Formats: sequence, C-alpha cells, structure tokens
Amino acid sequence: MKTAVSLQNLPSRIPNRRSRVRKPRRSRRSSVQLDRVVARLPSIVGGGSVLTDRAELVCYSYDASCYSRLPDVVVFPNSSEEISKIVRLANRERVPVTPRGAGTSLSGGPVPARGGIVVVLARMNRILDLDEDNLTVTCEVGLTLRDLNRSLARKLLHFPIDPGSSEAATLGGMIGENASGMHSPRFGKTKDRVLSLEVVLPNGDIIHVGSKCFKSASGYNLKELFIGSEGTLGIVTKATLRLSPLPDNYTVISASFKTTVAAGRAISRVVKRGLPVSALEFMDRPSIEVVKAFTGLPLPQAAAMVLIECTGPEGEVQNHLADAAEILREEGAFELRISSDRGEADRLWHARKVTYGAISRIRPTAIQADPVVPVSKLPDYLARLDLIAQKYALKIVSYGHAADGNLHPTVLIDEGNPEEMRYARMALAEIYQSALELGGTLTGEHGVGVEKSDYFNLEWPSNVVSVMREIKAVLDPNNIMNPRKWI
Amino acid sequence: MSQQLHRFEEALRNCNRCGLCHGVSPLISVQGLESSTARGKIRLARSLIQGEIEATNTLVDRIYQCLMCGSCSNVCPAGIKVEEVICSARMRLASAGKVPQPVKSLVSNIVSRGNIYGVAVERSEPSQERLVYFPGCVSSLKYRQLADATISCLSGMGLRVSSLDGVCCGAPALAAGFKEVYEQASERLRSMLEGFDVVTGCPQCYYFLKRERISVQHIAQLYAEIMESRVLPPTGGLRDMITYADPCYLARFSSITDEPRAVISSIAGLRLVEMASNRTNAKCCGNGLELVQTSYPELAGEVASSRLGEALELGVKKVVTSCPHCYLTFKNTRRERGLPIVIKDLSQLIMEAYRWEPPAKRNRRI
Ligand SMILES: Cc1cc2nc3c(=O)[nH]c(=O)nc-3n(C[C@H](O)[C@H](O)[C@H](O)COP(=O)(O)OP(=O)(O)OC[C@H]3O[C@@H](n4cnc5c(N)ncnc54)[C@H](O)[C@@H]3O)c2cc1C
Ligand code: SF4
Ligand code: SF4
Repeated sequence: MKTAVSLQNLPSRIPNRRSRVRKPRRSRRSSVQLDRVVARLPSIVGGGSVLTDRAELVCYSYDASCYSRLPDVVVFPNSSEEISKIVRLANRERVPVTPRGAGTSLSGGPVPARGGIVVVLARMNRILDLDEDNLTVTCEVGLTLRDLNRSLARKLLHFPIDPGSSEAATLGGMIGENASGMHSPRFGKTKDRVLSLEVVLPNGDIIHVGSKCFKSASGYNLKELFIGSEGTLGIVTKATLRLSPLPDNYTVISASFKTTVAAGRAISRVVKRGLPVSALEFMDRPSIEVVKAFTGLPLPQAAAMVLIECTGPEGEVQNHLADAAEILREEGAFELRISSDRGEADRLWHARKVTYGAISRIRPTAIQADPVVPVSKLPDYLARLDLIAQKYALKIVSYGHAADGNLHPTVLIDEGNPEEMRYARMALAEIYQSALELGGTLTGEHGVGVEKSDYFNLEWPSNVVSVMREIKAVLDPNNIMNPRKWI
Repeated sequence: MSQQLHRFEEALRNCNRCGLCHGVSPLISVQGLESSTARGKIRLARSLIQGEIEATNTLVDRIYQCLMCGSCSNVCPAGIKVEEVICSARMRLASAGKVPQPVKSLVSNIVSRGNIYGVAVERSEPSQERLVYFPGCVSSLKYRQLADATISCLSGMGLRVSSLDGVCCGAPALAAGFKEVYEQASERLRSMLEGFDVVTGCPQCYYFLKRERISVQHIAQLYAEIMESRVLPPTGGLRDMITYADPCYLARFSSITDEPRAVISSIAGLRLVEMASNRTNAKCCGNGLELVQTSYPELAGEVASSRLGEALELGVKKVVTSCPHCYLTFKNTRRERGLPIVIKDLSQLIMEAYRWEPPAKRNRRI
C-alpha cells in the first residue's frame, strides 16, 4: 500500500515561458532556527498547546486532497496576540507558517508544503458579538460553520454559505478558500458575506480591513485581497459576517435526464431565463448511485439529475417552479419530482452534501477538480468530460454547483497503482485545459493549493502572475506564509 | 492475506478524509485534536502499518482512547466501520505488547477469572429454567443493584429465570485487540447457553452474544413485549420528567430505540423529553467498553459530562439508561463533578414504578 501523494513526488511545474517575474524570496532555514522556534513556542502559547510528537504531527500533514507533508510543529493559539508573536518569531527565524482550520480543503491548502509550523485556529472559536439589529455577527474564525449556525438558529438566523463540508469547516478555512455552497445563487460566496476582517500579517502586525457597514468605497479593497488568499498573505483571526433569517419554506424540484449533456442544456436555459432559484445542482449517474447506496433515498435511475430549489412566498415559488419545470421537460427530463415537505427537501440536500465522501466506495482515491465554465458552455463541457474519461479509460464522476457553471469532475483511481496515477494527472490537465478553452477558470471555490499549482500559469499570463508575486513580496518578503503553493 | 487484514487495509485506503466524522466525534470537543477523530485515528493506523511512525505512547493512547461508539461509522459516507479498523489496529499493538496497563489487567482478569474484575465466582448446578438472565460483569459484580432490579422486575412480571453471574461476554477483550481471548470466552458461553433463551441488560453483551448466534434479547425488548401482551398490576405512578440516554450498542449497533421508550411511556405520570442527540445519533457516554473508563477515566468523565450536559440543558433531574456501562460512567461523573442529576437504569425505574421489592439474596446460578 502507498501513502497519499507526497509533495516531494509532485510532477514538475508547467514552465511559464512568457516572462521572468520577481519571486518572493525563498525562505532558507536551518534546523538550528527551527529548534529555536520550537523551544520558544511554549512560552507564547503554553506547553499544552504545542505538539511535536510524530503521531500528532501526522494528523496535521493532510487535508481532504491526496497531498501530505509532515509539519515540524503544531500550535494551538488562543488569541490574535499569541498568533502575532508566533508569526513574528517565525518571520525572524525564516520558518514557514501554515494556518489551518479543520483541514477539509480539497486542494492541499493547509498541507504544510515546506514543513515548519502549522497554526491550528480551533481554540479561537468564540462568538464575540451578535448584532441582531444589523444582522451581523463578529467571531473568531476557528469557529466551525456548524457551531455558528447552531447558535444562530436560536435567533432564527444563519450564515448562509453552505459548503458540503459544513459539519467540520471553520470560518477561517472558508475565508481562506472563498468557499461557497449549494445556495450560492441566492446567498453568494463567502466574500459576499464578509464585512470586515482582523488579520495578522507575516511581520506580526495586526490589522483590520473592511468595514462593518454594508458598503464601503474607502481605499483599496484589502478585505477581498485576503479572502481566497489561502493563508499565503496572513492569518485571519476575526471576521464580521452578514447573516440572513432562516428561510421558512423551500421547495425542491428534482429532474432526471437520459444524458448529462441534456441536463447541461436544461441548466443553462434555466439560468438564462433568470429564474430566482436559490440552488441549482447537478449530479451524474455514478454520484446518484453511490449516494443512493449510502442514504437509501429513492433517487432516480438516470444519467443525470438536476436539483432546483426556490424559496419565497408560496405563489411566487409555484410560478418559478412551473417555469423551471417547463424548461426541464422541453430538454428531455423524464421524471420530475417536487418536494415541498421540508424534511424531504433536507434529505435531498444531505444526499448532495455527502457525495464526495460516498464516491470512495467506487475507487479508493478521489482527485477532485473544481473548474468553472460560463453556464452556457456547460453542455459542451460535460461532453468533453465524457471524452476525457473515455480517452484515459478512467472513471470520472461529475457533480456540482451548476448555476455557477462550477463542476467537480472527480477522477477515481487507486493511488497504489502508479499507471492509473499517471493517467489521472494527464486527465486532470485536460479537464482544466478544456475549462480554460471554454472561457472558464481553474477553481470556483476549492482554491489553487498544491493541487492546481501546476496549471496556474495556464490561466494567468505572466504579467498577472507578476502582480500577484509583487503583492506577496510586499506583504511577506521572507515567504514564510504557506509557501510552495501556487505563488 | 486473511479476510480481516484485507478489510482492514481496504478501510484504511477508503477513508478519503472528507471530515464528516468531525461533526460527531465525542472526543474532539474534549481533546480538540485531529487525532481525536476517526479521520485522524484511521490515518494513525495507516501510518503505523506502513511503518511511517512507531507505536509511541501517544499513538497507543490515541488508538486506545477510541470509544468504539460507532458515531463516526454512522455518518461515514465511504461506509467505513471505524470500530473494526480500530480493533484491527489494536490487535497489531497488542501483538507488539503495546497496550495500556489497565487494559492489560482487564484482559488478564477475563483470562484468569472469566470477568473484567478478576473476581472468583462460584458456579452452581445447571439451571432448570429455560430463561437465563445474563447480567454481564458490571451488573453482577460492580452494581449488583442493577441485576437485583432486573430480577425483581422479571419475577414481578411472572417470569422465572436463573442468573449467570460474573461471566464476561468477552467483548472488552475483542475491543482491546485480544481476539483469541474473545474467541475462548464466546466459545465457553456458546456451550453454556446452548438450548437456553437469554436475556441481558447489557447492550454490549446483547450485541456480542447475538453475533455468536446465541438466542438473546435485550431486557428492554422483553419488557416492551410483556407490557404489550400482558396485563400488569397498575403502576404506583412516578410524577417526573425524565430523559433517556440511548446506549451506543443498543441504538446504533442494534437499532433498538423504540422499545425502551415504549416501556417508559407505559408508566403513568412520567414525561419523557428527548435530548438534542438521541436514538441512532445519540452521543456516547464515554465508557468505551470499559477500556476507556479504566485506562483514561478523566477522558471518560469529560465525555460523560458533555452527554449529561445535554440532559441538564433540558432542565431534567433524572437520566434513564439501559446499559450498565453508561450507568457506571454517568454515576462516576455525577459524583466526581457534583452534577445535579439522578441516574437510573430502566429496570430500576420499572421496579420503582411498580413498587416491587428487590429479591432476597438467593439467586440460582448455572
Ligand atoms: C466533503 C467536502 C465537501 C466540500 N464542499 C465544498 C463546497 O460545497 N464548497 C466549497 O467552497 N468548498 C467545499 N469543500 C472544500 C472545503 O471544505 C472548504 O474549502 C472549507 O472552506 C475549508 O475549511 P477548513 O476549515 O477545513 O479549512 P482548511 O482546509 O484547514 O484550510 C483551507 C485553506 O485556508 C487557509 N486557512 C485556514 N484558516 C485560515 C485562517 N484563519 N487565516 C488564513 N488562512 C486560513 C489554509 O491555510 C488553507 O489554505 C468541501 C470539502 C469536503 C471535504
Ligand atoms: S467520514 Fe469516513 S471517509 Fe470521511 S473522514 Fe471520516 S472516516 Fe474518513
Ligand atoms: S468510534 Fe466513536 S470515539 Fe471512536 S473514532 Fe468513531 S466517533 Fe470517535
């Protein structure tokens, strides 16, 4: 049996031939520097908050992707001030620092690619201020989305960004990846819901960016620079978030199709019609089958399934669903099922949420991609995915947030089989290349991390990459924050 | 490769680290570590068998701290039976002698005396009764009042039983990674109990006796059956609001959740309120087949107090369970932390409701 893909064995980067850009300095460190850092950490956070036992370190070497690398030390700070001291020390000694929430990233984001310190924010999980008048909450970002929403539910409120990992993911990780979820057509992405942030910069300074107000045009939008920066620019410690009242009624319509392409056509027409759907999801046959096996739900026997949710006043919901149903039928939907019972609708969403976990029943290793294409190109893209699967004789399962054109084609292999692994890499390159050819982007919500580093230069010309590198170099001149990722 | 080893390795590979088990881990809220979770423990087991890490004390602790509660398997979309993975990992550690000392003592007690406490129990002539009551270690040797209450209820309901005291079903040995000890214990039990109908108050004994194809019922099933089919004298009535703590091996592993509730609901005056986590999603009590309770009592206490916290949030003063292990850990925690809550076993509750007396000190044994 083989371990998860180790970073040392990663294929070399796709060369960027277009220009030479200034890179942030590569941090060089000796074991003496590392030892000094490890020795000092207990005085900052207390001895019980520092882990160096190899058995514990192994548990912070991975995320939900298939990359892993051992950290040298793991710390659990309790405050922004402690984080500031940790980062200042690490910066002085040139030791890499990787922030970590729950480690559910699918791109290798929290994997400490160059070892060093993993800073786990789990203990910084307090709700600091709930402002019911303005529907905002300020909290420490080690808080999990689930715990935040459990306590907001008492006030009939919620933070409505709902990634499939909502049982575990932390707010810090969601901000790090600019996560979104099944209800992004209605509620947007994490960045649309974050009003302000407290960030510890790589030099140890603590800054506040953004504003508690609902709009601000004051200066550069530094808040959004940090959202989705995958821990490469600083450590987010607190956030003020915009909340929504819990929806009181929702209706879900599920439609079955004989081909994925027909489902894609239906999706793009529903979006074109401008119907105010609150969620629009896509699942292909293998994902339907595994989820059916796990949940026991009576899902259809179909090549593809489209789930559409509408929320709002009864009459309006019925009208929108009737419009959607008409389009779905015209595009060949052969079974339409309407679930207005909340329990039934929740079971359907739960089924969709567990898809990633369930697909390892098909093959043990899942490498999940996260491309986005313009919605009108979805039918085209789905057809290309079929061809890629055939070309490499690989199982590629697709499902995702169809309203955004964001699919998760997942290559299923056995990582113990080097031949399959090689083909999987080639297939993934084509999956990304095809999305870019259709005017798409590499990642909608999982971030670049390690997983897409090799393809980064395919999307961005060197003059854009160089701007990103300049920004990184200004904030993190010693390249200590989550190094050896895409930047 | 043996089938068990194959399944072990397959399970280790099938965990795709989705993290769904984080949300239900009873240990992460107490320890706050990735190694508290099923995902972490599976990774440790995998790293151990691949030789990436050694069986350090920390690793042994993390593997032996698993409560085998099945909460993670219950939600794992990859279908991994985490308890089986942990059991296989413990077998590895046990064969290398890497076992916490209290676990070793407990297993050697089973070997030498046939029960986890190492108490010598005198056995009498084979029973004349067809129905045998199997109390398990805790009810026969630690909290005798549980066995007494059960016998009293059974006789109040007009059943004649004999009791097989001080015998372990072997489950703690299997959970500890000592498969042969378990096999010997269950072999002995199969021959002792052949031809009898067995009833037990312990969900773990129930689950493992059933696994060995012994004809067995959990006491909650038997009570529910009798209360439905016979006319019992009217209860004295208990004016009380209570909650019921589902034991892992009864609810999650055996899907027995309605019967204890039916029994409770049949008692006049009692109001049953449900905790936030209940039935197959119920939180674990922290006992961990006695292994965690004996080796890591602090941890067991933390988990139990988080479970009892759910009850206290409801404003109830009484928690009923139908497992002697839950009873033991809850009792310890209540005492040590001064929690304002009363712990009752289902049989004690019934005995109280019907005002039945505990039996005189004379139980026929086989
Ligand atoms: C089953 C499953 C379903 C998923 N579904 C979705 C989905 O629907 N939508 C979606 O968007 N994602 C999804 N994801 C991906 C992942 O869960 C999200 O990206 C999530 O937001 C990560 O949160 P985390 O706490 O686990 O962060 P981690 O994985 O620990 O970290 C993620 C990144 O953020 C950085 N980071 C963490 N904390 C901080 C901080 N305080 N400051 C700065 N940087 C930080 C890390 O360095 C890393 O680069 C899914 C993952 C799984 C396993
Ligand atoms: S839920 Fe199952 S597959 Fe997911 S991390 Fe936990 S054990 Fe692994
Ligand atoms: S069985 Fe219980 S204690 Fe063990 S890993 Fe699963 S959830 Fe955690």
